[in-house]
Amino acid sequence: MTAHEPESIPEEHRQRGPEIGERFPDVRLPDQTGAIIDLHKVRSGRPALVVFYRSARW
Amino acid sequence: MDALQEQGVALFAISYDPVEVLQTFATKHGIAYPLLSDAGSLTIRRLGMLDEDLERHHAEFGISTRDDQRGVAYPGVFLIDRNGVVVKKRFQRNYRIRDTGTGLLDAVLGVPATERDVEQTVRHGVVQAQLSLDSSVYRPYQQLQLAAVLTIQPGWHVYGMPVPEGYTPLSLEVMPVQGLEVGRVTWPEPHPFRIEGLEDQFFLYEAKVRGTVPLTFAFPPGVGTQTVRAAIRYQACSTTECLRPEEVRFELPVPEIPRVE
Repeated sequence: MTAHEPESIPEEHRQRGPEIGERFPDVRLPDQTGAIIDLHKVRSGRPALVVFYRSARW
Repeated sequence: MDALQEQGVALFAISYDPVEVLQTFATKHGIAYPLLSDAGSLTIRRLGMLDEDLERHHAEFGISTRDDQRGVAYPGVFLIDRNGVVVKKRFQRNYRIRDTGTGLLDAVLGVPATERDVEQTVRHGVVQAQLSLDSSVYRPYQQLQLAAVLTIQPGWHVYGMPVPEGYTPLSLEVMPVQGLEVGRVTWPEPHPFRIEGLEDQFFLYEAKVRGTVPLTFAFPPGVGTQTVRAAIRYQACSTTECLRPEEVRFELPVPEIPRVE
């Protein structure tokens, strides 16, 4: 049996970032090798997790 | 990461770090999935993921904000489906919950959405079992305290030691892991109880019971997230019936405290 997490998003976070139900915006950025990554293209029809994090440095 | 791969889920991470920083980070931690560089934070801003409140968040933790920290993203995870549509999103505001090791995704997904220390709660029948750690991150060689709390519905109880034959006593077990030193589990004194007509002497817990165990994270710096796996076992009975014994398993990912490099 695994832990069950609350489904609701706290009020202050609901408006933040792309909305549930909307298409995730196009993102084209270089990755760690310098290659330009087109997110939806590289995703290639698979579901995906997109993680925003503060920094790899601090 | 392997579990995601098995399920055919792609993974992307975005921050405002330049490519060189990400290259070093990826090499050091063996990260194969794309770490996208949004230097200048244009994408972060366009997507509405700028942490404009960084100063306020820092103040809450007694940290001052440097110029190079402006433009930083607000930590969050988006799950998008095969059509590219957002189906789930989750945010983690706690400044300390951030993994600099191999478990970046574990740290973000494994942590509850609210700002609390590492905790998991499971409700099953008449008992709610909760496991929590008194810190959201560990320092190398730090001793933390793991607490197990059972909330039991009125009219029901669970058993403490000594327990008559055939009954399952309340117990907390932490799975052995190299480097994780598990101390002694402490439960409060149960209260004695005798049912008329029965010979057995029972020792019960009712309503709420809390047990603790010290855990020493005897890991050198740089080892990263450790997952504490534990099980709480109990058997709930009323005055007229006993439910079958239960084992509730927990997994608490505990990131290493972020280091400034």
